[in-house]
Amino acid sequence: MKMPLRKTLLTMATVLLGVSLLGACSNTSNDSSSKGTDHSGATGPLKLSMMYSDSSAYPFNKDWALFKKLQAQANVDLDVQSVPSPDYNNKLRIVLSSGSIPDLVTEVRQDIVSEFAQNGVLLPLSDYMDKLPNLKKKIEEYQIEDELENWRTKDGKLYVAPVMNETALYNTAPVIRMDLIKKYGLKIPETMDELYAVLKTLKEKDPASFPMANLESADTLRNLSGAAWGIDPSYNGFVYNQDTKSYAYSYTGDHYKQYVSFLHKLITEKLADPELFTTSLDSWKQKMVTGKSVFTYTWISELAQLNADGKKNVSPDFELAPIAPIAGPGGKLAASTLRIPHGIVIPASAAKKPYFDQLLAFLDYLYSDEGSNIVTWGIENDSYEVVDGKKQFTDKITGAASIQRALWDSGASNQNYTMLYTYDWFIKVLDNPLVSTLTEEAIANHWFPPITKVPKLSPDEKEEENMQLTTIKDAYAKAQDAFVFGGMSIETDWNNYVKDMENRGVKKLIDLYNNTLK
Amino acid sequence: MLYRKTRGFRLFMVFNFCILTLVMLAIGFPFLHLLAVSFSESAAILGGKVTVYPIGFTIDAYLRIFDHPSIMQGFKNSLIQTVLGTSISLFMTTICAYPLSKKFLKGRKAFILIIMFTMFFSGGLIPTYLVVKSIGLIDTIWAVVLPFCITPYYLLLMMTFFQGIPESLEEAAMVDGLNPLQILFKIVIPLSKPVMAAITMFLMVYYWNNWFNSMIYLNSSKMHPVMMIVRNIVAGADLASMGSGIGQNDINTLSSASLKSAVIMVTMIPVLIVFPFAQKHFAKGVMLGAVKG
Repeated sequence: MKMPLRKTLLTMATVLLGVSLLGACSNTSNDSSSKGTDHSGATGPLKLSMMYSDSSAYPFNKDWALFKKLQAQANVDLDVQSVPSPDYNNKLRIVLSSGSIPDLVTEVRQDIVSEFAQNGVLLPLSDYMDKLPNLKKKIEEYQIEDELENWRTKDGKLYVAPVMNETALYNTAPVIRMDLIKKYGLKIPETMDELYAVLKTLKEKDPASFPMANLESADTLRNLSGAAWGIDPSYNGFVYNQDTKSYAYSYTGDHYKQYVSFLHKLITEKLADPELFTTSLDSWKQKMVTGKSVFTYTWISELAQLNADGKKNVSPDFELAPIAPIAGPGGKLAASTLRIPHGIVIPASAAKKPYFDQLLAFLDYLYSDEGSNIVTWGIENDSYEVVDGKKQFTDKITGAASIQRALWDSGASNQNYTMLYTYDWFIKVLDNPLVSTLTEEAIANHWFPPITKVPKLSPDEKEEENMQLTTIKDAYAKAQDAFVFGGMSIETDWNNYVKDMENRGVKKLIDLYNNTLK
Repeated sequence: MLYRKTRGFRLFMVFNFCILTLVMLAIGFPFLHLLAVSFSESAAILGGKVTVYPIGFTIDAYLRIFDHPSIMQGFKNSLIQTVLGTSISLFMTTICAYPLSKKFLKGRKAFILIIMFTMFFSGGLIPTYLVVKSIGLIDTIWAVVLPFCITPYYLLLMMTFFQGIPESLEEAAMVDGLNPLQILFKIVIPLSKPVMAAITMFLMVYYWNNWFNSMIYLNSSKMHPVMMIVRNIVAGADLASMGSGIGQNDINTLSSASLKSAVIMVTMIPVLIVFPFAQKHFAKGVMLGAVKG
């Protein structure tokens, strides 16, 4: 009984020893490939390593047709290091701090670019614009300079290859149960007061309901409806004022007071879901499709699913439809949409690599007409065809369950390396006539809020900012909960709140930001 | 030890039965609910109709999971990581705990203090990463199994257990001509089966469930364990629909709730298979300790 155990343990020990020795040997060979510097000269394709944010919606697959096409057209073989998207930013910080950075790092957001750009980790792409002619051309063509300015560092250098949308899209909207509006002969709300009246009527018709729901958190609601309330959510509420030429904190201002008062009124009169700030995505969906809630702000692309489930659960007439922005004290404005959501960065060390020029050429290729067609439309005469000078998807794509899905399965429409989103492509993919008509209306009527200026901070200032922001954000969220759900009274406690926020660092940050303007 | 069938005893048994049934239901219900949700259609889930049996039976969620290009590779990697990691951990913990359990070892207290120190303070993520990187372990399986192979808690657990083994037993073995290493493998380890089984179980669950280290230290996706894929599906199902402007036309027929449930089911099965075998030793371990007092 004891013998076999001893034997197994001894064998285990021997095996372990052997395996670890083997491991030590194989380490050296692994090392070179992990850095992705395997450029096999003129013969094979250039191997570039890419750090990649892996979305669960389209899990990375090395066999996507797109990679073969890219290899054939651009002679580049991408060595993709995929990281699950929920943890991408964590790993990104570690990799950028560690010094061994892949040739291309995708989906880098503005705050990370500005944090690492000034440490000398990233390559200043603006110094190499002569080698990036297509990028240069597209920046001019898209007239995106004012938004791009926010990505530049203090010295005016650009450290990122931006992902650019040709136009802002009206893809989030206030959404209301149109069948009920028709049934009760109501008017579609155009102002916040009218919204209140409509919600009140709907509550009377169905006393058990909570007419307004919100997906996920307080921040989501503020992001989607804030612009109309005059509390632009960009940059944590620190907004540059064109008239006074200085920064101000919008979450202690009058517009914000009106916003929380409105929500407080909805909560006390039971017009809004008691879980307004705490609901999960699944339970939000549940509230919408069971008819428990009839108004919300959301992405228009979510509606097809909600309507399908709602028809099964409530009635065949069930129809959630997007409407024009509801005007508030800030004006009739849609949610602020970034035309540059993120971008690709290249490590500064790449400049010394023998294949540096080819690396830049590949990056630029993604901005060329040919390159951007491949990563958005796919392969000509396979996934799309040109009819009368206009591109359209082939039956193979439009016949699939969803256009988006079909593109994803071929490796196209991938957030990581799609650098240009053209309007005609987007409209075809979303395949929802409401988005295009509403977007055209939005552009014509100036529903999109203007771009707010982001302060340009030095690394030290950035650190100071991070420290202050943590306390500010906590205090802000706590007070917002208390105001909306009645823990604090908006009439009596407001002045204390404003003072408290100022002492907690709002004043310091405003000084810090205003300093950057000098 | 014979119970008389008095009325009080019967009453006690009835209560016993009721309470234990309640406990069992409390544990069993979430499990059954997940199972039911994983097989139900989206409309029924969102309508809040699903309780313990599926409504609108569908296996779409499971098809979607096994459709993932690297799920099978993931299972394989997880298996390798679990087996390799558990073996190394168990071996290293044993040979570290045994000497530390000997009171005559010089500097024993200092060693234990240093080890305990790491239970409360760690070097932080980025410094640890830099160490792992400079040893050249990044993107090899060793980055996942070596740096974390000794857990102070298990080490102390094992050390205390070793201390409980009567010294005279080892002295007898020494008289019979065994050297310390032989004593460890022939006498001490066979006597420590309960603690070995318990720690093996803990380690296996740790290595099976751990996605974080793989996410940080492994770059090539062909080495990723299944839990990393699971993590992406579970946490990403929400993010994907909101993050991109395009949104998620994808969940057309599939509710993210059913997908999550299915994923949890699939990854729970291996642990469920192993547990009953180890449980035998747990019970034994408890009794051994009790008799020794």
